[in-house]
Amino acid sequence: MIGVGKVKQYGNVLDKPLNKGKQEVSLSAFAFLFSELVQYNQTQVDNIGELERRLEDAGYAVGARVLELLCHRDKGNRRETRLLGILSFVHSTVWKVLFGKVADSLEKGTEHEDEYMISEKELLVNKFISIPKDMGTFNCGAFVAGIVRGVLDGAGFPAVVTAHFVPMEGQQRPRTTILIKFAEEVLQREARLG
Amino acid sequence: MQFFGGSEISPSPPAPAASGNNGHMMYVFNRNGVCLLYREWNRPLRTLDAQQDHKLMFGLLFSLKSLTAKMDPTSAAEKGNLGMPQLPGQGCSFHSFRTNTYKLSFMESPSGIKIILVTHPRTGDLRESLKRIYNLYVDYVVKNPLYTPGSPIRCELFNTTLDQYVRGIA
Amino acid sequence: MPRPVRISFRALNRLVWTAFVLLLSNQMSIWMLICVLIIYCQLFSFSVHDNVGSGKVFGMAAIYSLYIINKSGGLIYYKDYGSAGRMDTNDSLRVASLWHSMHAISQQLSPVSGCLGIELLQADTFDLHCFQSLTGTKFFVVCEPGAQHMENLLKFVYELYTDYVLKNPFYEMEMPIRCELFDINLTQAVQKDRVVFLGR
Repeated sequence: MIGVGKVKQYGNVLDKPLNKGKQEVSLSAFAFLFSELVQYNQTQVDNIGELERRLEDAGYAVGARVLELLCHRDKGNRRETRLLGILSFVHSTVWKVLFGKVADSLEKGTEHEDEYMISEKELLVNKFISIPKDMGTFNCGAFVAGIVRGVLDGAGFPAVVTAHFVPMEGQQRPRTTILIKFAEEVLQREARLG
Repeated sequence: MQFFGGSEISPSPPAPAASGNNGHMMYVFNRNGVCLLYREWNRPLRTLDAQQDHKLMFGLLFSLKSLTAKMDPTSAAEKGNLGMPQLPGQGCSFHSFRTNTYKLSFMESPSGIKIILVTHPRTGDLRESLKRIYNLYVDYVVKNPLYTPGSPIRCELFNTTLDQYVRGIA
Repeated sequence: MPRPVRISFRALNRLVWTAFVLLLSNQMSIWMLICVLIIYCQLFSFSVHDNVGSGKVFGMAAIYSLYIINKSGGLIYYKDYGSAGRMDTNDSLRVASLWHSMHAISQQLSPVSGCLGIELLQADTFDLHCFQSLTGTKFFVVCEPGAQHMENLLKFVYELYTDYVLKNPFYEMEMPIRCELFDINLTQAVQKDRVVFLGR
């Protein structure tokens, strides 16, 4: 099921072309794998906060690798150094590679200077997931939050990233917002750069 | 590991022949569940001995009837517990069901005589035909002075007319 | 809600046209035109609301209830779409397990081999369509006698089940289904126009 197009076999990894950004993966295959990931982690924890943290850690590893790959593939071995640059890199480039589209919106928090939000009406990982009532505000988007944290951390922008459900007016389903709270040093550096 | 639904995926039986030979078998039960008549025209598969088969068929009809009586979505009346015996004509009954290999048509007379006709799955509505068969039963069995009610039917005339009629409809 | 005044759309259209023509020929002020338009809109909206209220035009398909039973005959989903014979939990559980066994017995009584159980049961006041997946999960819908496209609806419900139930990490196999997304999508699927669409 995985891989829509035919994948040519290369004997040597160095013979592979760099730009292999268009390989699609079956959504079902991903959904089942992700479902198993959540289920496995659920057996390893005894509270929801712990589960969220584990998912985030799994995502962190993905994010760190994705950053490495994309800097190499799309940026000619350069990385973003400015706050807005890295945010739009996450919002468009990373999102497009992982989910096939850019994120629905990228906003600056109204209350705090150091907060930014990436919102998605229907986050891909949540497409088939209904959260049981007894799990409260738990959101499997924690995995995506982890990816974002991994990318930001790797690029030198340490931040606390969390995923939240935000109810929307006129919509049956809440949207998912990835809240990014940058560390103080990042903002100080940004101010110095002017 | 047990797989449900047999080895083949929905094997569809051969299309119904133009006329005749599509009737598989027929049962007549009285209200006590005694099988008064069992006719068989075309039955390649037999999993049980005759008596077990009749019992199972009566059980299926009884349970399906209590199921439909309980399920009846058009009446809000208290329907009693599931499996409560229903008098003939009482509660919501059913007139046929269809599987991928056969169709079973069912009729119950007010006196509790149950007529069951098993035919090819693609036969149409047989409600009228069952009434005709009931009519034959009244004519050739009930009006037969040598027949004791409640005993198995052994009337040659009824059997031949029935065979002829079923060949005509299915 | 007030009953709509019965005026044909053609008459209304002509009214608006006349208003425009009068305006163009400077015999009518723009305010009068606006008044005419408001009346037009009011009447139009009433007649649309009337359709919605009757429940026949945009309402449910002729479905009374939907059941899903697992491979051992336990009821894992029951939804009643406003039938008079709504059942309580115990009764629906009993009915489901009874259906499970009747389905199995009907296979034993088949005159030819390869029987997969009852597909359609025609009762006096309803039809029952049943679909069994290869793994033994049964989906059945109770609908008005003669309702169309039910096989397709059941296959679509099966699709929804595989998507929104089986891919949900919080669903435990063979247990009752409590998935918000499944409910939402199912509600959409049983809308009458959608069922007809599935039939195509």
